[in-house]
Amino acid sequence: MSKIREQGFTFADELPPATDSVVGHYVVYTQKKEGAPHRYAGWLNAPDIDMATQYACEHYGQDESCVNIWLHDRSRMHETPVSDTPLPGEDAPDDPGATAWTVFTQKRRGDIHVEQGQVQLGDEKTALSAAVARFGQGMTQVRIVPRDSMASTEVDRVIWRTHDQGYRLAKGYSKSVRAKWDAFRKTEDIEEYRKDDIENHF
Amino acid sequence: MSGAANPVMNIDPSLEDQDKLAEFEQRIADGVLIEPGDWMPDAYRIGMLKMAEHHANSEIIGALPEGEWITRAPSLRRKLALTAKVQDEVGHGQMLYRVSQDLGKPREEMLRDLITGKTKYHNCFNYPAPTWADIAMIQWLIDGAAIMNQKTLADGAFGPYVRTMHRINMEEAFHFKSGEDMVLTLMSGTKKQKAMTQEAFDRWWGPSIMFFGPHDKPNCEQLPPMKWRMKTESNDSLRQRFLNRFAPAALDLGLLIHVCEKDEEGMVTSKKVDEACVPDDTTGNWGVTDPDWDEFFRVIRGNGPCNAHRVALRRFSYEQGAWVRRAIASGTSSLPPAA
Repeated sequence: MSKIREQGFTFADELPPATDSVVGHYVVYTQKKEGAPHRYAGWLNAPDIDMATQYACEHYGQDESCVNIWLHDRSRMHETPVSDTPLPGEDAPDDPGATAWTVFTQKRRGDIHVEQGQVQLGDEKTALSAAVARFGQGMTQVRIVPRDSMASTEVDRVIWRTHDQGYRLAKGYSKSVRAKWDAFRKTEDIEEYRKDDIENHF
Repeated sequence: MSGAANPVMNIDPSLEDQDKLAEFEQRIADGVLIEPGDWMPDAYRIGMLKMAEHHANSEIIGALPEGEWITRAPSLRRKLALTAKVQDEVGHGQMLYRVSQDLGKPREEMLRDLITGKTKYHNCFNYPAPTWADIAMIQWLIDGAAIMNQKTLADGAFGPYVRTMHRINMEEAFHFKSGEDMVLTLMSGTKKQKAMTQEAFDRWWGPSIMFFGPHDKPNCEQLPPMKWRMKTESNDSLRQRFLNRFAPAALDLGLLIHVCEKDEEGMVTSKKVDEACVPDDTTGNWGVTDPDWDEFFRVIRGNGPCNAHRVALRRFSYEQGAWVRRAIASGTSSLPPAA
């Protein structure tokens, strides 16, 4: 055990001052393969979007393989309310000189938001309405984010490292674990035991 | 890792708008997921906040006993895996603090409440891990229990928590398989390895049985935590499923299931085979000697073998990291405090 962990700790009466108020909230999306839509991964706190990108690569980029990450400050997104009835929306033609908005939709409550496309319109109200009309059919929520407020990892940046990552994935152990169980237990007992595994990830 | 075990929730629905409450409860009964913009009873928001914060605290503190073993892992692959696992656990804590923030509590307030003892974390992390086999047992038994619990939490009703739980469970699957691999390797090894594994099993079996919390109240399914699908399975039901899965597996591995007495440092001082740990002839359900619930509540109150050390280490890290946070936040730097 390290000496730090063995030591008796002594503390000042007061905690250090809080620094929470200057930390931003960023929304993170990951892209699993080239050409696939970006899918919501989670949120994180960071002082600015550059550092948020670094955090996102280390956190969400190491959960599972991905080729690109998008982020935006959560204050920059505009959403419809989550609705169980068809969302109202009116389409409008894109204006090539106007703001480009990336559109994400949530299919059912509890689902993650998935990239659907883009609308190009001057203000958020018109853009959200057009996004609903074009992408919102059968969805519970539509979200738009100005494209120029989003950060992206650099092209060709290696996020999911290319060396063998089997040590950090359940599937990296499945065969050896099964072979070892076979030496101890009957097949039917192993099958019964495995029913509580999270199968999707093995 | 933690599984969000049962923080105390004194919820009083009678204080809510009864019409809105009825509509809310109908939506829950219909299987509708609640999103942050939806109306929800204050008691639900507070209850979910307590649950998510307790879960986040448990992920952060839960990384500490395992983190101590990174430098002493027996091979490079085990070291890589343990480093990745500890990174995952801390990441889970961060994700769950984000869920909690949206329920109304600032992140730093949560970090500070944890180190001043205002909020709690899971009991099982207040026990010692003196050998590598303890790390194997934490990953097999505690992560195994956590997966059982968190699979049910992923069927809950609060959208952000459900989404986070799906992501966490994906990583928990790795933690559990890694733990299984370690236990199987140790039990396929030398006499010394097997003896070390038995000793670690003796230390962790009791906390695993207590993992799911105390016995349920008779009407638990009608009380808000389950009625509102904040949790979807009772403590006793989860405990029974855990027993049915792990008791026969442990015995098949050659481990003995003991009822143990422990000293103040959490080390076993005497043990006897648990005669109650056999399958019921009629139901097939495995039995177990009821754990020492006095010990459970003693540890909750902060008097477990490692409570003081775990919280002190977290506070030490928080204080040592203050200058880094300040420098990042303000763009100015200052010297770190003396170690």
